Amino acid sequence: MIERWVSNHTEETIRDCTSVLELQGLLWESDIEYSVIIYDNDEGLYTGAVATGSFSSNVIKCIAVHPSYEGTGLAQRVVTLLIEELSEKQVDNIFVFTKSSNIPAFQLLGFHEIVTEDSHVTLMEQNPRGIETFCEQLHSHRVSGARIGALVMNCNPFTLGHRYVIEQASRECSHLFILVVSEDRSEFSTVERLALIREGISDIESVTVLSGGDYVISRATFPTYFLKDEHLVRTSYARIDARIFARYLAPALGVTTRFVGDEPFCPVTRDYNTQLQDVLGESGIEVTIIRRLEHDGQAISASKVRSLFAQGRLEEIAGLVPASTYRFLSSPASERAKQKILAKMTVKEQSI
Amino acid sequence: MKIIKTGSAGTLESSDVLITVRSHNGKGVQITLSSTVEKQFGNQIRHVVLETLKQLNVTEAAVDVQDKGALDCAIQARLIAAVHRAAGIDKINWEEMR
Repeated sequence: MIERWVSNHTEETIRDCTSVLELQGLLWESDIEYSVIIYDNDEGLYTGAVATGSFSSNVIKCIAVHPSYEGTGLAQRVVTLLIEELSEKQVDNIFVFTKSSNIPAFQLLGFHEIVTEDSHVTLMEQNPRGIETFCEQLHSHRVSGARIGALVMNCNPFTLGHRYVIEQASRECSHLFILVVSEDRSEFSTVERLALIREGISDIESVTVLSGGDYVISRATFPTYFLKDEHLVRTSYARIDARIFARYLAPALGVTTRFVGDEPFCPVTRDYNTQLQDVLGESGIEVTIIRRLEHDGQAISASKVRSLFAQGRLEEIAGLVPASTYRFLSSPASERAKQKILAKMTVKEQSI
Repeated sequence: MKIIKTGSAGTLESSDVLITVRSHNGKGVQITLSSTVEKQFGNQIRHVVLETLKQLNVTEAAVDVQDKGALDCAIQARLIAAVHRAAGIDKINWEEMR
């Protein structure tokens, strides 16, 4: 057996990983940063891949063992190597999304179950007190009131549309918590997004802006390699995210109402909202949908702001974002985000 | 020694142990143990961990022990390494630890 560590994938290494994944009916994911491949080859050559596993940020994914090598401890070996590498990177916690049939296997590898949604998706973490510690932090922000609301937002970047939703929601409750999706894959970093939201709503009372940490699942980081079709991916993502909110985050903050923005013409958002209502309803949490603010007959979208910003058409953005976001976008500090947007746009154009 | 970040040492292979040490400020020492030999040696493992932490002068830490049947000396060595990593110390002073 030869072990190979891959931090820069080539066509050949991806092919080796994919060959094992396919035998288990799994897919490769494009955001993988690091992989381990084990070959069964006596001559020390990198041929005959029999096991593989990868990670992206602090999420372990795409683990597969050749069917004839199952039960030989190879999966354990792969995960151990991934954990060792992640420890070097000093991540605080490691996560894995998997099928519920794999729960016992990952428990043996030191993972703890957070939530399970049907038999399709289970989210597990390595820190035995991970979600508990996060909820303790949330708990310290608790306030008393008749109706405590929550909004989950990305705000990439913060626009007048977001502000409008926050204003409407805060009017309907005694206190509003805004949980911000924490992942740096968005063009604007978590720190930038948090700062722009806080500045943009500083005049609105009874609102607390908090980072969602590792427990508000971002659509961008949700792994899908073990789910069969697009529809299953969408409902699983929505339901696991809703389940964590209902079971852990809402009770920690004392939330009674979850607000969501409505996008009448977007089937993905509509689908998400339906699943959310379904899961949260079971826990007695009300879901209130807020109509989005329109500007010249169109809903204000952060993606439109990003595209105008990248093209340097700042004047056109002025009517779409609050003064604080505008100031940031016209300052040199926003250069990093601009480069990120441009890079993503080129990738898209190339793929078309 | 003060735990300032997450540090781990060891593997999940048979006869080894994977120990992760995390900060646990103001809440003392907390050990979570899962072991293939929990029934036979669970208390002994906890004892080794507590004694080693005492020697290292660690009073606040959340210690996660994933044991696959490691001997006491292996548990000690893995814990010492994990604590040093979690305390951000590169050099281990073995003399001091006697």
